[in-house]
Amino acid sequence: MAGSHPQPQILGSRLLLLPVVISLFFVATLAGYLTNNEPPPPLSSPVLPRSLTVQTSRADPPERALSVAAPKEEDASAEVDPVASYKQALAMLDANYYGAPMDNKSTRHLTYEAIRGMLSSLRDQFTTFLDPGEWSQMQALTKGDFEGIGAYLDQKSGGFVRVVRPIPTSSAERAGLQSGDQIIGVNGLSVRGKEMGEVIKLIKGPLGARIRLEILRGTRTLALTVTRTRVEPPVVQHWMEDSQFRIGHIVLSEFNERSMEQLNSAFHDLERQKMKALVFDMRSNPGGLLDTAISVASIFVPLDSRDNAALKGNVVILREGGGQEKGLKLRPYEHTHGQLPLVVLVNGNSASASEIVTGAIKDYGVGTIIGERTYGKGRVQTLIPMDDHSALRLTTQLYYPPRHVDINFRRDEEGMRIAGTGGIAPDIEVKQSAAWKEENFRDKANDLQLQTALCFLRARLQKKTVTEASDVVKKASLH
Amino acid sequence: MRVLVRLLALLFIFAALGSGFLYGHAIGAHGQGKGARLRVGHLFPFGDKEPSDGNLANQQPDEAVPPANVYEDVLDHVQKEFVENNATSNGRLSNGALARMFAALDDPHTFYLAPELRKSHQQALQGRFHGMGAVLTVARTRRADIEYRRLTIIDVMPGSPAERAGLLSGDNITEIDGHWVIAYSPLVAQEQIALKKEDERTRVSEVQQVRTRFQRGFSLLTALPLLTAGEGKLLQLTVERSGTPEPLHIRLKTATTDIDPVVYRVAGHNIGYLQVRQFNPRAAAEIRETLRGLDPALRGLILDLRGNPGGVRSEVKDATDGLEAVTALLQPLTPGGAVALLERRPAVGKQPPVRETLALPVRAPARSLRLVVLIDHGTANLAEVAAQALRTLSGAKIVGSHSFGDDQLLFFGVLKGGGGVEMTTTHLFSPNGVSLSRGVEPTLVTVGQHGGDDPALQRASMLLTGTGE
Repeated sequence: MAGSHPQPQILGSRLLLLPVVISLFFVATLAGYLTNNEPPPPLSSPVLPRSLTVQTSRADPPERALSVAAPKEEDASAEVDPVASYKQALAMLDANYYGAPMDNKSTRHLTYEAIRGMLSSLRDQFTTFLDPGEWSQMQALTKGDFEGIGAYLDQKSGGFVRVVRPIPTSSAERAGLQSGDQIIGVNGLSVRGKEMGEVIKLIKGPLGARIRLEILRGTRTLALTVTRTRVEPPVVQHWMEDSQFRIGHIVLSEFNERSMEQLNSAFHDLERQKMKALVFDMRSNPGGLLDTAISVASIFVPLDSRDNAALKGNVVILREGGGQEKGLKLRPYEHTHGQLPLVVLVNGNSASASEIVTGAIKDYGVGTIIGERTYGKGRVQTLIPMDDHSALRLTTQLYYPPRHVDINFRRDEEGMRIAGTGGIAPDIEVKQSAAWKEENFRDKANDLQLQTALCFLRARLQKKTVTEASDVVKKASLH
Repeated sequence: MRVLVRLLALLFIFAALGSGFLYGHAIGAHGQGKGARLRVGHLFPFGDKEPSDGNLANQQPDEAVPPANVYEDVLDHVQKEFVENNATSNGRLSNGALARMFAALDDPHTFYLAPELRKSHQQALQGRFHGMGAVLTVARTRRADIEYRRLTIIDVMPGSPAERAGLLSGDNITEIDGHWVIAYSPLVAQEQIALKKEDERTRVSEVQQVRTRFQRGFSLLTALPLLTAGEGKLLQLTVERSGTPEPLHIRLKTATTDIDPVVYRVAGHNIGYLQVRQFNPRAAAEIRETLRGLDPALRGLILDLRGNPGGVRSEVKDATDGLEAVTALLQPLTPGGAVALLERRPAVGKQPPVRETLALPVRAPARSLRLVVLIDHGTANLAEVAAQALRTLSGAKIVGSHSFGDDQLLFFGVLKGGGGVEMTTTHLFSPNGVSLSRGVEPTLVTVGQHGGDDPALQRASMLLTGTGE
């Protein structure tokens, strides 16, 4: 089926932010400790006056020899049919299980769990099943915009729903919602004791709806009115980092459908300010759409740098399960940004699509990679919608950077990641200072990786070669 | 103490999100009404599978699509498109699916048995034990809204590796070869840490240790095959025993143990001794034959149900069902009547459970015998039903120690592909509605066996020969 359609592909996700992966059965077992099980049925429940006579429940068996012969083995060699087994198991539950009845809801729940179990047997942490709720959320995120008031929320058990942060340029930000605000009322209703899902329901409404929020900020309460609008969380931030040397800084935090548009306008703005060198920052960028990654890589590799015969103009090489390989080519953009001295900043959480861009820049030699070894995820997932609005996120391909190096981290017997394997090694390795506060990339004083990049680019702008500039950086870091 | 609760909650949340992504909750649904600009054709070019704009806002599953279709669809995509096509054998995918499906029921007595485990389990139900040679259950207790689960030995089979290693009914297995058995509640460890008067740093490091043990722990799916399948394997078990403050470290080598479900002998002057080890079809046939052939001069019968874990319901033909053996025992020895109440799930929705009376036809017993039933902590499940019925219907005296108190009758089934399932099917009550989870209290309490001494058996003989009272 490959090839009949362009494949929708996604690379990376926030998954890689999860350091703990636990076996699935374990999870299910654990659930019992943390949730209250249903109370036992009351003893006063009506007893149906139906009598069951044991004798009639089974025909009298024939007399048999009383040897200790091993029991007869049935079906031992039968070919396993996963669908038949699943259906038979559900039928047995329906006929015999003491617990919840097998109605539509529980059948669907058990089926989703079965699918998750099936996928976990593949021991590929990137292959997952998305139920309809997760899937629509995922779509919103890859699309890059959605409808709402524009805030990230969380809730501590027993507490109010809290604003983690408003999305820049959103209605929530314009209304003055701040990180740490606690929502205590919606449209005049108290939400004390309500779960986040319920509160979100109250905040929902049509596009343009005005929602009144009562907020607890510190010890003050205040009322804010927010409007439901289309929210487009920015994935690109940019500014002139060094106005004397005119070194620009662009942060790309995700590869979605909006990334290129935002990236182009950032370039436009910085070029208007006569940018002479660029720090392209993909630290902690978990990836996103493959298509976007190819576009981003293409704007950094000038047409005249693509002649290397060994690389064949590839951005990335995909390998299917059957072993066939296919090179995806750089796009023939006339205007690229690769002519400027370029530093790419990466760290251990730069994954997937970020690694494609990093690998292309490195292999074509159009920029210097500074920071830490990248995450190491050379696996492409295809999102496959199911008829009931759920979706399968399936690893369908491996990929390699243009020089065909395998960047996948290695896994132990249990499928767990072996630390220190895989990823793309930076040209200049700089461990980040422990004091650095990652949020918003504004903590420049403690940002050793950024400082190294600036030191390197200033040297480059003072006509030093890449090698000389690297030496300057190394000497500087000795002091 | 709180620290660990939160840690556990966090582990759980991480795991729960493992299938999704940690994007936080952005308020708002995607693509409602006219404002929707999602070019689904571009992102998801699957023709008729494109979700419509309207559906996109709907986060509920489409109930018109049978779940089985989704299961089949996913399976098909995995087998055709997964990048490592050597990882997609039918058996592996099916085992993974069913294991998690049954685990999702969150019922420690209900799980999927992979083909190897199913085989050894079925053989154990038929009298051939593998592994350590013991019958296990997951015992649950509840304190302060937290459920504690322990992998507990119901019965140790005579001549088994477990018996030679000194294991007893009621022992909790907490570790296998140093790996935590996850049925055993980590909250117990948390409490122990909380109780220790130590500084914060030690506490944090202990919490870290708990976490590591947790990650290295064995789920029941891993633990059960080790304990109940195979032979010739050395196991190092950590065992908690009530009344013993420090955990015991026990080594054993797994082996096959065959059990003769029924033993009969004459135990004294006109006194018969019938031991029933297990309720299964083989036991039914042997009980029937034994009772039919009893010496007419016999005045009394000692029925030994000690160490009898009961039996299961099953449709596996002539192989495992236990109820028939109970009938075979009770029918000739009682005048009939109500034996137990079986509580089942109702046929529909949220109705209260249904109770049915398990009854034997009333008729004069073939012969009148004075009966004494021996029970102990290992008498469980259908064996408890039998003991109780003999007391109420035939006035049998019960001698020994309090029984296990296992009220969950399990169903065992074999799937076409070779795997199996075991699930709670009914809860057991006495005919007057007392839950069997309370166990059976003997008429005469005796201490356990010591060396060659068997005080319970001696008391039973005395009762029947009239020298005791």
